[in-house]
Amino acid sequence: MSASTIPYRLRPNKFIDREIFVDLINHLVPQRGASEYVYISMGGMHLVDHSIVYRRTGIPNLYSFDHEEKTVRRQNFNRPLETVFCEQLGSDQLASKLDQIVSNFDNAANVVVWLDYTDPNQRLEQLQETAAVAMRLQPGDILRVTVNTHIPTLDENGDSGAWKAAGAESPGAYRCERLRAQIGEYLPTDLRAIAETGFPSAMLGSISVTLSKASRESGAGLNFQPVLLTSYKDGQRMTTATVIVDSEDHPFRADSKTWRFMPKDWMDVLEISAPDLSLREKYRIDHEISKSSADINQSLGFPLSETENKSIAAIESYKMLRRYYPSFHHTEA
Amino acid sequence: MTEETPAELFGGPTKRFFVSMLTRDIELDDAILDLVDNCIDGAMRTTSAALDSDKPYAGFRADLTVTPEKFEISDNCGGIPSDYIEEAFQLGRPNIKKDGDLPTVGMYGIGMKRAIFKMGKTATVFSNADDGAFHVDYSAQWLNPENTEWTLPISRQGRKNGDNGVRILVSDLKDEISKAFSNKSFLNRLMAGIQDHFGYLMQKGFEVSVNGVDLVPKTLGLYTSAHSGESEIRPFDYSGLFDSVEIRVTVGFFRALVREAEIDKETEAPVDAEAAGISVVCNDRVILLGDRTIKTGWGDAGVPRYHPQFRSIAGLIEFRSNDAEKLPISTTKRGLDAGSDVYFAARKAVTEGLKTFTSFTNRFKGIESEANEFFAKSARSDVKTTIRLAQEHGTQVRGANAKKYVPVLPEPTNKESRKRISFIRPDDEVRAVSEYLFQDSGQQPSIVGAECFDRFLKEARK
Repeated sequence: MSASTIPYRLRPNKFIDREIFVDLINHLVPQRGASEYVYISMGGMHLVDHSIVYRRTGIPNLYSFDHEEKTVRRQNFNRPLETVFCEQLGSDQLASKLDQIVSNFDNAANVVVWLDYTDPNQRLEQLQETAAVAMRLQPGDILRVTVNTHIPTLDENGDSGAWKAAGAESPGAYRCERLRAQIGEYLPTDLRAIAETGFPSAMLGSISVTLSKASRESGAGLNFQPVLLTSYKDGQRMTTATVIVDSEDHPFRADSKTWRFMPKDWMDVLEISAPDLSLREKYRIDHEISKSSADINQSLGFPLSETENKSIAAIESYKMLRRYYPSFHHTEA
Repeated sequence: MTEETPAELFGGPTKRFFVSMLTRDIELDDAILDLVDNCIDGAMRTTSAALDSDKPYAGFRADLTVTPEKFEISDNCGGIPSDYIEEAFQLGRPNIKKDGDLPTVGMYGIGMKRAIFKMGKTATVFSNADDGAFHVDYSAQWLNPENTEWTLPISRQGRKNGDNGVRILVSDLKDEISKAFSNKSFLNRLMAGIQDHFGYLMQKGFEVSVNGVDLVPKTLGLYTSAHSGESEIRPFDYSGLFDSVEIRVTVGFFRALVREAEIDKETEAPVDAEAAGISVVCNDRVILLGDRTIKTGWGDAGVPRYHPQFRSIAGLIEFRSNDAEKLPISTTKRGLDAGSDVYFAARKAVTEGLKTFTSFTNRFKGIESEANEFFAKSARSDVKTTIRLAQEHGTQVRGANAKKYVPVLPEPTNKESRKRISFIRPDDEVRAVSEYLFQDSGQQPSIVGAECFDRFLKEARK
């Protein structure tokens, strides 16, 4: 699989999601030291994530993989440091190469792995790969998995009659049946329907089952604790789970007092929905940030979204995440 | 030369064999399914409804609590009557005919004990039946493999108020079992396994819950339409009697044909988890699920081997008999005895059914979407409760007490002989041609190849 080629400036929510993730890495890695870690992900042709992880977290050991040789050539051209390894590798091969990758870096003992999947047609393969990677992780490692949770991928691209033709009880039951046919044992057995807004939590439940399976089959008593669960929609809706790995003898913790996005459980998803703001709008909201979202909405005098409720929710989301809110500007280099 | 002294050897079993060896022969979830099986046997003995009626098990249920701290299963299926107590706690069942004319599957009398030995350091079995209540304790001492004591303490009382039933409580779990019970994926698989294996009994009214979640039956539905002279998509259906065992075999499509692009993907990695293949059901219990091997006729008697292109085909072999010994079941209750004559009789019908649908699939190879109109005219129906094609419209099978219905399936409208062309080219080159033909470099390779062919065919025919 290859990384998505759409630049971050066209995906403000993904940008925010990644910013929070980088914050999380900063929160976690001091327990063992940044130099102990290797950051592993599909870097895309520009290696944007690798550059940011290096600059912001100090992790010096960076590894990028892609199944296309020409992308790897371009990554090698763009690498932010001479020591970044870019290799041609399919995500299905990552699990078996993991130990070898770590051994490329002196003194590295732990990994941060981001499996950034976009294809809605390969969910089973993606969960199987996730389990295979998770099984080979060690206490102190961090695993992040992104999956496609665009609801039309479950109901014949929005065909509102598909559920009736298939003899399902309801659209939600039909979506659930379709997802079960795709991922089988990875879907929670007690899930009977997927509401229009319920796909992220259904897939997070499936990732949780996947990691339980990995925990059992690793034979190493690994625990996978979710530390960041997010969902956003720039084009298609994407959902991401970030977990930390520990065991009884080797604890590795995220402190919920200082890490504000710590989920209560696997169902506690942080919705990232950044409103598309002009600079003038952003300054106005920043100026009135201590007011309630409803008051700010009224003060603006126009809706930021289709309905008043959605506008207030967008302001609410902005208030919570404004530290991560992007300001993209045109520059000439 | 020394004279031989006559002597005796102990030829009996040891406690260790039962409490720590026999338990290795069975997976934990299978051991739990054995306990649910016992509840169902109880319901069969207790229900007043005819077992072939629609809902003979309505009102009967088994509730399981599976946590890292304890395992508990309780039912309202009649309890263990006095006559059965001794045999229920013996290791092995001396009287195989105990259930007479009831279609129970437990034959060897080992399931409950093996499950207890597998899970617990101590356990208690409670029963409340019409003729009295009792409980039996398995102490840590009794379960010690070194212990040679075989007698068990039983505490008997009069019948208690409330439902008649059995409750098995394992309050002190072995460490590895406690760990498994804390694992979400184990519980998920256990619940799915119960839905799969007892789906047909649950369809007939039996209810099961795990940790408060009511489970839903999983049964097979196949595409069919009402019988007529028209060629339409209907299943192959067989119904017969062999050595007092009723046999039903139904094979057909549970989804529309698999498109070529999906097949290409499947050869690289699994693309979905649909349950294609043949399942075997004995007295409403599933003992083999979605099999795609020679065991159920794939790759034998003219049937091609299973291949992803046949992923739309599924079927059900059903056996029913009041004499459990005649059913093709091995000791685990979920093992198939594929060498028995009754199974061979059914397997012959399955291969005929499979052949019908693999041939149809081959006839539509490369033009799978043309078959969609036929699927649109039919609908998926539950095999066990709805499809009756053999009984109602079947023809007599020569030399057997059986009827079969062989569907007349639609033919492709374009019957020209077809050939498959396949070749491999570098990814970059396929993308370049795709860009040239479609102004989009990401088209499916098969579509790019077909377009190249079609354009040159037009040229060639000018």
